[in-house]
Amino acid sequence: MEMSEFRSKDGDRSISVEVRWAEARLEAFIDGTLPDEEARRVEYLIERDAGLREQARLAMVIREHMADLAAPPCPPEVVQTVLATAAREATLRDLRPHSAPSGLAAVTGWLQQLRKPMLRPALAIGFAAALLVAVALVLRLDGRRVDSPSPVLAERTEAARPTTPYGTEPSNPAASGTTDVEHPTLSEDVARTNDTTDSEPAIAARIGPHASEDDGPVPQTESTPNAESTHDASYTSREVEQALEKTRWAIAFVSEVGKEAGESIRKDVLRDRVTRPIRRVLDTALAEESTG
Amino acid sequence: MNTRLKQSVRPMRTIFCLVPILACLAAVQPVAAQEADLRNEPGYLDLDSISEWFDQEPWLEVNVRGALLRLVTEASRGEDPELTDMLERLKAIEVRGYPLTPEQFDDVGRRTGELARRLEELGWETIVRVREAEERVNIYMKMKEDAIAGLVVMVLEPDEEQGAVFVNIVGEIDPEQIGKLGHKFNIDPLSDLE
Repeated sequence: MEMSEFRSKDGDRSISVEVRWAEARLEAFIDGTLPDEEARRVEYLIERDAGLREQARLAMVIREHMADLAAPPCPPEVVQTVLATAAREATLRDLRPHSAPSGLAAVTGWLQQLRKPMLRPALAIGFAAALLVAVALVLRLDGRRVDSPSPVLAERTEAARPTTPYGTEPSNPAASGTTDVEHPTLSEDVARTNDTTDSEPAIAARIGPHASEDDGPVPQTESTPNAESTHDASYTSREVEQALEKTRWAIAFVSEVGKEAGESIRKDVLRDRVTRPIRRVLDTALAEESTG
Repeated sequence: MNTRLKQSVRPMRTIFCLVPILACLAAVQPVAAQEADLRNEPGYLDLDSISEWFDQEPWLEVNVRGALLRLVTEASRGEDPELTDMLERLKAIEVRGYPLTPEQFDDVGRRTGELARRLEELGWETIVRVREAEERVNIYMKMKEDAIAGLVVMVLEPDEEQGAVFVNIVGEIDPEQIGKLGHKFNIDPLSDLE
């Protein structure tokens, strides 16, 4: 099975990706705000793709028409209304009693303040924010009740652990079903090679949650930061597009591996060890039947 | 405005300004919490630890999870509904690719075998295990309540450019869907996208 022999199944896929990339930058290209390299690339794609060329032409037409539009004047009555409202509010503020309210009057005064138009949005935002906090806290509390987290796979090199020859069938084939959460013995510190006392290299693979506190500190392996990391909560469209292409690649890779593994099994295992023996047995049985 | 009234209103305004900020901080899960959530998934395998097996940096690294996975799902919605349907049920797609010299092949193969045994001990089911002179393939699947919760693919081939590839897909997986979608997609090198 040769990984290098994977071939494209859709030759136009890369071109459509490029066109979508250019479409996202078309307006910036028309406005002349794209960096030189990107502008050259967009121009190149416009020459190659008729649909993109048409979109560019339309964008330019719209831009020219918009430039010709005159700015509408503000109606005079709007200006008068704004000035009158401002003057009225200033007058109302000046007419308020200067004596400090106390007790119920103070609370009432405060509530009346809250009904002011300026504070209403703040009040609404504050209430919504408090609701969000409550919902987020509830969700996080629910999220922490994990049903069946698998134990951490983190193993210190064991001098007593026998080295199993590679490829030997495991003595205990994997059992299906959910993992057993109550396997604290599987939660051990991740070992570094310089800590090992055995020649067998340490296995530092984690599956599931971190080790429990009873098992001691577990060195964290930080996820490698890259453009697609959740460390950056905001992604550019290009990053999302790259991530989408990488996702497609990963799916295609898994599919291809599965297919070629299946072919290999069929050809090297099933045909020789299953199909042919069965056929021989059947042929023999049928031959005996016909002669008998 | 009355001075005492002004003094009582100002802190209220401050609070109203701070509460939305605090709400945003609380509502958006911190990165550590998101990482912890993924590690709680039974189908998750930490591929970062595999980097210790290799001297070189990975030639391929894919970490599509959390917010990025949601964005990718939405980006695919218009053009490939079947892909969107699959992505909506996933939690993460992670890939690491490392160059692998012929000298490293046996050692990495041994470590991969040990990892595979540990996966089996933790309930992962062996789907495929191919061992040839210059190629090793392991595919493991993690089940949870009759559904697939994780998929791990490990491919080793002595190739100084694209030798070893490790894939972990976390979430509700339909292998048939992967097969159908995979036929449509291109697995030429991704370097052109960088």
